Amino acid sequence: MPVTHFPEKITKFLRRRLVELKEEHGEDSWQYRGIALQYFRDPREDVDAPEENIKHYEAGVTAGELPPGLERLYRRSLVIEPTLVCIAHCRYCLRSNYAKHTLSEQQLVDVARYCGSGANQDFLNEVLITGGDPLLIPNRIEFLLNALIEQAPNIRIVRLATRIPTQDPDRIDQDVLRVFQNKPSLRFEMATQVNSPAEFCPETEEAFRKVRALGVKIYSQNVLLKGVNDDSAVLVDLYDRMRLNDIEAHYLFHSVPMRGTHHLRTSVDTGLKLANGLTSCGRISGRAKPMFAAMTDIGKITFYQGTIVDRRDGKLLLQSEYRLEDRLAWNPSWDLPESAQVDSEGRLQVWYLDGAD
Amino acid sequence: MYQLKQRELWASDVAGYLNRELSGEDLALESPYAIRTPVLLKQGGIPDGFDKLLLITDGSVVEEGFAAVIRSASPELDLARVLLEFFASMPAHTVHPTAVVSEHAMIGRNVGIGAHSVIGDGVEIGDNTRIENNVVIHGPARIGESCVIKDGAVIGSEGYGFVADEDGKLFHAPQLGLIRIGDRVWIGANSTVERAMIKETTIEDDAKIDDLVHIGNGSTIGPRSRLTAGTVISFDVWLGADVQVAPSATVRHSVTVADGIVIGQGAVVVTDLPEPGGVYVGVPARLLRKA
Repeated sequence: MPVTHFPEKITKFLRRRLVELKEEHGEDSWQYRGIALQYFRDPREDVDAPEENIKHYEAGVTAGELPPGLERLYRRSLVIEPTLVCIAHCRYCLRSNYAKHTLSEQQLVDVARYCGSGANQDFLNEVLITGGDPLLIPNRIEFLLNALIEQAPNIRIVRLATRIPTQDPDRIDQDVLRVFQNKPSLRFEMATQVNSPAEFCPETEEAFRKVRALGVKIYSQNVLLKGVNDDSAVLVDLYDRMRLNDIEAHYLFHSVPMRGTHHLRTSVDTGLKLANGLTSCGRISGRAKPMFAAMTDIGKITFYQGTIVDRRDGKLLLQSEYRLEDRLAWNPSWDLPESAQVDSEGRLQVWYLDGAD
Repeated sequence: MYQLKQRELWASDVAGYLNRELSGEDLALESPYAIRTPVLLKQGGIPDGFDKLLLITDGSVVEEGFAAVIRSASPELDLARVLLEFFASMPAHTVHPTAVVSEHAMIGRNVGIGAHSVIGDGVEIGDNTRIENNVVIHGPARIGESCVIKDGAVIGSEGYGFVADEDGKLFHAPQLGLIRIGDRVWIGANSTVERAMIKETTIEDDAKIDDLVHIGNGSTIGPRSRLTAGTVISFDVWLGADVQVAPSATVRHSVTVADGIVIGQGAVVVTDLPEPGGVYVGVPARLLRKA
């Protein structure tokens, strides 16, 4: 089925950057492709392929006991999606099929009250505010943060997920920076995603610098994408540039099997080979090494020895340390996905669709 | 206060932000001037030069000719929200170096205080309140959260409290009463709120006071009441909740105005208006129609 519902959307800044890269390096260069493949709609999105996911997982986004716009997969942290609107459309987006809601101020107050209610006061200490891109709506995020300070003093760590610094760096203005200011009870971290070293340029580096200057720790969760960064030299360059910009390497994700992304997904084995190369090549410091992980139907699983326990029909059975009873304890509306099972020790395992090289 | 911010925004972003459906083309808006609503269309005088326009409409105007349309039961409110979120910039919350803030004042989190403003002893200001330029606040005063006090306003101005002494000379009694302003109150430019001798002068939550309004000592302005430019509220007046006062109206001292009453432009209220609701106009103010 074509992905026509998810139109191409590229910011003016990225369009200009692509023109510059094309003129400087050519259309076939890794620099140009490193950005173009992330944002240009590709006819291969419409080709029939095994990748069929419409949503990356269901964790009480709109139903169950959680207020709308929340996902609860972990005991101590909560995912809040105040808006699902973005300024640019990444072609491998996990949430492209979600309805484009934006939470009202009243709904945000409800979210804050939930965070500070009952047992959450004892366990929940962290929120990840994602979307969509929350920094597209800084006024409403400011409102949410003030509501959290008032209603949920147990929340001490706030992570804000955004790609705005690389998609439209001018938007990191005083209204966005205000979000991180004058909230001494909260520690802020910015979760960004830089997939190609070509995304670094003076404008984007300045945007990151302005955020860092406020004492905000920036980290990147990169996605392994065919043609963008499935190359050892490009990855070394990427992690070097991140380190120079004081951006911490976090996960290197295997691309989630979303519908229309077949052409962007490598195999997990290729990802493991690249990740092993990164961590043992001696060309980048251990301070800059990411963890290779997959976003599965039951949450993130980092690849270690023994993580892949079976292979069948293009799928990998991945071992996690998640336990069903824990998951249900903090999110009673959570259903065990069909792809998941419980092993003899009560731990969750999940089948994960591999990519192709 | 706000400054125009030019940002590329897509019609679908607007629809997604408002939780509404977009019909027509998903066009890129370079400026807020490319957005229309029924009220804007009636007002006219809108900058030209936009080939494609986004209409936010309740269905009361012809949609033909607009490249993109968002249907809404409240287009003007939606437009206000879009302008605030995407096209308006607010200077950072800081205390301007020329402001004078007493060490005996308590200033909340995220409070902005503009140039040449003076915050006196015994003033408490709640979180996220903005005090603009040349504002003077005398204590004792308690100002709530998320208020806006515009340029040149004077809060806690010494009340007009004179008593005649034994020789008939006017003697000014010290005005020491508390000023209490609730949350989300707006006080316009060059407005004054007087302090009373002992009694509180109170402006309740969500009241909105326009520019050039005078509120006399010991008066109470009820929650969500709206007082427009030139209004004079004398001393010891009690306005209920949701009262609306049109420009240049005057309310005599010690008068009570019940909830939900509308006072017409230039009216002079000289007696109590105890029945809630209703529109009062003229000099002296008389009932024009019941609620």
